[in-house]
Amino acid sequence: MTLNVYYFLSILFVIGCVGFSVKPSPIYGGLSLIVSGALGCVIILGYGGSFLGLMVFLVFLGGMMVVFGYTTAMSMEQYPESWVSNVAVWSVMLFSLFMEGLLSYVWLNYDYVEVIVQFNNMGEWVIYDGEGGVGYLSEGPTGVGAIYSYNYWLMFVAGWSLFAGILITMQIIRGN
Amino acid sequence: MSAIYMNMTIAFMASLMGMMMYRSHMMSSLLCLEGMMLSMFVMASLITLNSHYTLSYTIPLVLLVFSACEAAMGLALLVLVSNTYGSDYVQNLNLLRC
Amino acid sequence: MNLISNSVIYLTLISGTLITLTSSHWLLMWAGLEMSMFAMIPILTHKTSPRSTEAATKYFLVQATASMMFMMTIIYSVALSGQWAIMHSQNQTISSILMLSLMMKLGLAPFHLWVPEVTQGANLWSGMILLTWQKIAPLSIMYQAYSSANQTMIISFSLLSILLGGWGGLNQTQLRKILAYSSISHMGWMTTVMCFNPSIMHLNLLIYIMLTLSMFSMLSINTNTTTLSLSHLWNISPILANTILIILLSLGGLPPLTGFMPKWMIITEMTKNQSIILPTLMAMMALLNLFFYMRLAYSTSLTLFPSTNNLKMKWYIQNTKMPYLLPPLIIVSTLMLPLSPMMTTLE
Repeated sequence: MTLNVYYFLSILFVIGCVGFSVKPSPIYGGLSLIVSGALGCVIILGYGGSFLGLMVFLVFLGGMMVVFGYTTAMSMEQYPESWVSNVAVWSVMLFSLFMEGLLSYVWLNYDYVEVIVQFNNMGEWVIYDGEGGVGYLSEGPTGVGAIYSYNYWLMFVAGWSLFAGILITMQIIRGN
Repeated sequence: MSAIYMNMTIAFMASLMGMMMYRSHMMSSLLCLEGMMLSMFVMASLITLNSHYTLSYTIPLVLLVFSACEAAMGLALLVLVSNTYGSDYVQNLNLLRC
Repeated sequence: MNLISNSVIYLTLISGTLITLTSSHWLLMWAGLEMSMFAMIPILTHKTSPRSTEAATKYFLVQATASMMFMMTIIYSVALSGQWAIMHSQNQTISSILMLSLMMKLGLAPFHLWVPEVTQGANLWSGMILLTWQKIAPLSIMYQAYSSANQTMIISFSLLSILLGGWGGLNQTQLRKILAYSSISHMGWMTTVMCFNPSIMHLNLLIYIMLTLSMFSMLSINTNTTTLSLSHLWNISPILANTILIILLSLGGLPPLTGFMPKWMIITEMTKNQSIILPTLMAMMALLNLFFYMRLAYSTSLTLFPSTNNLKMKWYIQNTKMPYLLPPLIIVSTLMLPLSPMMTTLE
């Protein structure tokens, strides 16, 4: 059984998730969510999803984190609660990190493990057979572009729900 | 590969447990919701990438769209709660219990 | 509310449920659930107050968590089976977790605590949508995916919700909370019979929706939300007070009324399947429900609550609200038992 570097990145991802799920102050939670988002982007990139990785980086980190930062700043207290300032947070954090370490240890000792550090920069390719002969297409942009033709109904539903989301948000905030 | 699936599941479970925890800010609960969405997104894209379903590349995208909607909705409710109650602690939401 | 945003919100609410009902793709199904959940939030915060804010927040948090669990189990089943279409043979563990998330959405027993609070925080119209229309989409998904789940788990959770729906309502004086608890126990009846004969579940859902609609529209004529205001009803409208008595008995499932039909069919179906103890337990636990319906009927129409002399003349004031839909709803929700031979052919 072989493992590569993405396994360790995913362990770091889990640690990031534990970091915000023990609920420290939102400012630190947002920080560790950003770390997890970046790691998720790298994992997806490593498996050849260049477009999807870009998507999670741009949409998730770029769009959503700005809004989160703004709202956190709006409801900020003077002394934010960090991971070490509460016994419950600290002990749950340590416990879950210990559990994750134990699980990884068991997983690694389950079989013979060889760690491979190798980045895949070939990308995934689709062969098409057109009029001018056989050629290659990158899989990511092709698949995502299928939302305009093959999955147009899905795009319609998603677009409608984004539009309704804006209206609903305004309606909630406006009150009455 | 299955090791990464397992780690994504653990990340999802950790975020779910954080969501269920009844303490601290509502903002932290929304962050946990986002974390669930993030681990789901990574898992869905890895499955799509490994199985080479070219046409289901759009599915993680749609997941992301709905997570954006959900985040907007949660933040609007957060603003509403902090306007009405003065703070966003989830322990304050206890008017309707009896 | 603004006309444009109002129409968009209600269109999203209706189309979300319809997308869930008609799709055969898990992602669209999830998208429909999310859409109807989004559209429900501004309906809950229709008049902004601390109570409605809290109700909307609780509704959002519970439903968002449940739909996240739902999507995660779908992604798992895609990883195992490799397809997004709805199949009837799934992994049992995955299907059971799917059922758990849908139970969270419906408000079945171990996850039922949000239902009374959210219903209490909203006004009568929002509570009516919450207890009728929002139940259709999760139940339709359950209808399509129940067969591969763990049947023992479903039946035990439904039994628990019948018990807790009866038990929780015993101490309540708020009408919306009482109706929410009655919804919990009706959901329990529906999901129990789903394991034996799912078409009876349809019938039960239909009749439950009609009964709840007529109950809510009768309460909203005079905006009654407590037992006390309901007990003053005989001064205002004696006919309405007597009709509420009949509807409550129908909701409790007494024989000459419509509400008896689904309970009768469920018990018949279960005894046909050699299961005796289960329907006995369910019928006994439904007595708890019947107790608080009877108490409500007692203070509404069986006794005349003491009131001052000028209050007694309130019936003379003409009510301007004209509920056009109410008379057919009352007829349907009380007199439909003779139609039950026709209903059994629908199976």
